[in-house]
Amino acid sequence: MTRLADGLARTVLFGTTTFAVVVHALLQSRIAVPAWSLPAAFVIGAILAVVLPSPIGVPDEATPTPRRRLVAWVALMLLAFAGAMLAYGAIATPARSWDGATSWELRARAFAAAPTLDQPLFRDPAVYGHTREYPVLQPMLLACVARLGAGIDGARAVFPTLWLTLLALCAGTWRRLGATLLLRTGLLVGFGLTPMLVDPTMGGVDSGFADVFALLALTAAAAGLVTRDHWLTAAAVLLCVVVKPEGLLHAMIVVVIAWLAGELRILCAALLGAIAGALLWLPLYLGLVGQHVDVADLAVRLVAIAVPIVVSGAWVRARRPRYGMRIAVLVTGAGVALAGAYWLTEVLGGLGSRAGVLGVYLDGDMRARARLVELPRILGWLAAYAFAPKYFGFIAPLLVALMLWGRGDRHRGRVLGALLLVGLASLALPFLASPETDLAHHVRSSLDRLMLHWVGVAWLLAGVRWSDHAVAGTGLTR
Amino acid sequence: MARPRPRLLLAVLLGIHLAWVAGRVPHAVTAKRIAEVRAFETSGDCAFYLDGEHLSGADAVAWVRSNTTTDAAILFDGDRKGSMEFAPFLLFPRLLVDANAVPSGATEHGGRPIAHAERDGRRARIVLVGRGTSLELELR
Repeated sequence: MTRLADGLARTVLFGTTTFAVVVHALLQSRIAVPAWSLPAAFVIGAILAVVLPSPIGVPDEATPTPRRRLVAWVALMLLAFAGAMLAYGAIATPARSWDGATSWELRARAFAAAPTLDQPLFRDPAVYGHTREYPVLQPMLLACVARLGAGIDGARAVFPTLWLTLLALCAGTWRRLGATLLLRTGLLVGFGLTPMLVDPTMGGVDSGFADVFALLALTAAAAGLVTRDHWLTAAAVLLCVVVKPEGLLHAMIVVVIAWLAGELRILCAALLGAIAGALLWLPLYLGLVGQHVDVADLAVRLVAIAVPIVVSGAWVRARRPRYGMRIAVLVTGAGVALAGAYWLTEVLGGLGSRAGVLGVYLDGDMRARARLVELPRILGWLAAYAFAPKYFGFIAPLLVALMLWGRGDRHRGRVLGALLLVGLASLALPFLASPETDLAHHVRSSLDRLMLHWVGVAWLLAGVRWSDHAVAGTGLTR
Repeated sequence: MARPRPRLLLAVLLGIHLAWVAGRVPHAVTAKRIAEVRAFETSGDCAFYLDGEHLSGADAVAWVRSNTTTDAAILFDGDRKGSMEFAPFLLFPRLLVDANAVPSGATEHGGRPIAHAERDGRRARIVLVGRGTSLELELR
């Protein structure tokens, strides 16, 4: 069953990535997206899932005892009930949360009516298009499902499907890393019923926001990193970039962690995904904020930035320096990277002009410096939210305990732990650079959603540390 | 001093988490969701989004919807943030067009008829005006 779920999750991920490439290529060429491109992309996704297997197969499992099987079935029933509630919440009404309705579903409806950006909602500056420059993948996905006959109400079944895909992906990854049926069952219920995911709240599965999609993309990238699955990593990082504006930052963080881990093939895969995602989304984004970018020029600059990253990654792979040395090199390289980023924004005139959602935040460099004094308060909020059971249950204290008492091969734990720590620390950036003057209000309205993106990484880490722990002889999983 | 018992501690922590998230299913996942869906169905979309504790303006949007054609261009003015953010969604497929971007004598924008209404025998353009957390209708 885990093997089947894993295969379906990989099919959805590769299919969605294929669909993303097709959608962005067509929209950049000003061609309407045909609804049949979605099933066609999923057929390709299924083929890719077969011909690009993970380097670690899903191992066979000893027949579980009747008691453990019963526990697993009870847990599955509980998850199935929660999934049914999420499907009901998604389909019964339009998105009931703010941006879910005003931004994401509005654009899905516009695409369902005409699957192109060449319509007044997106192109006419006199028309009020709320966050018209936001990524188009989720709205177009819903629109294609709607046009295939489900209607816009039925199309919202995409949201519980993303949740199911997330659980299937994690089940397969935990199994690959040695977790037994009982442990996987506990982890699946623990993750699947995370309050922020299943509550009818902003960012939840049926809220209409794209946070669950971002969570899926980041979790898949983490799964790719930890199982050394470079194709999954590339696809997931590409998805990160095209799902939400902050996905560019997510992609950069995955690249940094792959570099630190000394995994050259994974580093190249993450860079490939990030570059492809940027080449697909940034020209559309800039077009929607009234700017133009030369795609060839952008590609050359992105590759030029990637080359030193790959070369230094090869050095880390060959020399295996201590982590302290790697971090020192990374910090030095960050200066160069910053220069590269400014060089890049020069070609991306639209970012420099401070238009659109990215421009607003990039314009915040001065605000960020002035607001550095608020950093301790922001980090305090981060810790408070992480440990607040009403958002994420008790995953934070569980992780602390697992990191303290973990044993055995710590490499995977280090990789995921670093990804989680850097990811959570990066959440301070939007609050430092935000144009919002009421910081407390901004935190209350978005920090829990932004943290949700990293919850999958946290649960993968919990699974890895628990499995490692057992390998050391505590007997928890073997 | 007793040796730490990580196995037991980890199992207890995971158990607490599982009990917490499973225990929330009947109320937080199920009852709250059903109540929210019923509130939406009972009040209708305009009132659900715009007649809450923080926002108002449902009447204005509902009036525009029942008095204009679906291909109309609805002029808007005032604050874009707040209640106005919901107007494009609630009025779709009508489009909201900035009143200041349309010449005063124009009767259409981008091929769409600009929504008009009559008051005191005078035919004027409908303008949806954003006032932060509320919406107002004006005939100009």
